[in-house]
Amino acid sequence: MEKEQFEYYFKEYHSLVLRVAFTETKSRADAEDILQEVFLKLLRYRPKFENAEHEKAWIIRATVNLCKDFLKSKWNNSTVGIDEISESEKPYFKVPYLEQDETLWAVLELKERYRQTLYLFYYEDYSIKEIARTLGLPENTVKTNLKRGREAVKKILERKKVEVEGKDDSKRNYRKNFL
Amino acid sequence: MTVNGITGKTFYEKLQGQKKKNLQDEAQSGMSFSDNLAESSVFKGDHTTNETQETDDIIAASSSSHTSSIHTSMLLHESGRIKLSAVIECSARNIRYAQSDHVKVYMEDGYVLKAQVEASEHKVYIEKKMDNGEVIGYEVDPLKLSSDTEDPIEQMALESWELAKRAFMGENPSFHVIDPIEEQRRLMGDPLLEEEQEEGYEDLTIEEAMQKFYNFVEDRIKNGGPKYRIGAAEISVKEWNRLLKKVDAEIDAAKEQLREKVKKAKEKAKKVTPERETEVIKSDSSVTKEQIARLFEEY
Repeated sequence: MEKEQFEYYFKEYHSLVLRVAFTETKSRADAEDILQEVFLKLLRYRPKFENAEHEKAWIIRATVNLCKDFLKSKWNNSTVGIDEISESEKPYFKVPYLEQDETLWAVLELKERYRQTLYLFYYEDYSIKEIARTLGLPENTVKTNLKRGREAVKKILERKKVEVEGKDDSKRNYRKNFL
Repeated sequence: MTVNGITGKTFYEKLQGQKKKNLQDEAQSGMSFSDNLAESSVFKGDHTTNETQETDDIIAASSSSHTSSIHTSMLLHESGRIKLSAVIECSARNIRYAQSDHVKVYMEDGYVLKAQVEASEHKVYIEKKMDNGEVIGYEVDPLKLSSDTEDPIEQMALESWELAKRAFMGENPSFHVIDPIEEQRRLMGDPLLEEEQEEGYEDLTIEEAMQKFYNFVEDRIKNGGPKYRIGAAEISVKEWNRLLKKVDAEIDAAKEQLREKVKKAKEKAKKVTPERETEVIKSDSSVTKEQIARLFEEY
């Protein structure tokens, strides 16, 4: 692979890889490590791509697989819990073209299969066909994941809403008692 | 309404007359077409429904390039079509986020709206990408919409039109939400803020990011894969995984041994328990017989 070609891949995909890796690892530092590993893999294996769609699919798939390996890693399992995204990490995650709101964080809390599908569909503008190709799933499975994931997001948002309202009520009660 | 449906000649001549008048006015005021477009017709934000005004605008917008009757007829046809409804379904263009002027996610309802503003044609193209794989295109005339509409497509068209208008006027509309606390800290010149915000790949320019990656590759070639420090020793990820696999195997073997022991102990306990139970029953029943016998003796 020529240097120019590699640099083109890096320019074109580095922020996408970073974002996808962040959705999986939920840590900025880990996402950066994954980014480096993905492009190192690209340098090492020098795959030949048929078209732009193929290269995009390869890169995302490599990212997702490396993230899986990373999360499965004994070291990671025995040291850190990665269930929820920490508040301090949130400001580093920026999605282009879209307003960031609670829905995004709710998506990142979902199970892996729903999270990947929903993130790629809503935040990276992938079509169902592209997601199916990238994740190696049948199109109908992608559609089902989208539907179920959407319902799960709804539940998470409702739960959060109730939590916030509960907090507000307790604050109000505290003020009442205090006054 | 078709073009033929308009009592052709008279209406056409009337429009041509208006067009000529517009051009004359333009020439008199010394304004260029683009000035005219910016100042009056496209982004004036005049949500008028006056038919004549709209026709004037459309003709003024087209006056720079085409004067043929065919084009005017097409515009008339277009204008007539728009008047039927502000939102018209059309074929989807499959635009990407990068090509859109505004994007909104309605995840709870299962779709995304993308908008592309076509200022010169007074149109906003809206694309609805649904999670069942369907993609629908709409052409919306924002000047025909009421500002208090509750329809998401109409709202999207109005917002996009407004954003495009602001961008045209030189403002820089931003979709990013600013954290008020962070903004205040920034304004007050908090030195800790910069320390907190370490430079990651997303903060670097593409050249810096590339340089950082090349440094990483160089380091990897020199020092090999990542290593973790445990006390005074360093251990690579592979070595750590191998080590833990062995530990896991040992733990599994120990667990298995323990399980077998427990199983054996349970089996032993089962063998002992039924005998005891029968003994108890026997003794219980014998006690009762004796008690009964004693009772008979007493009486």
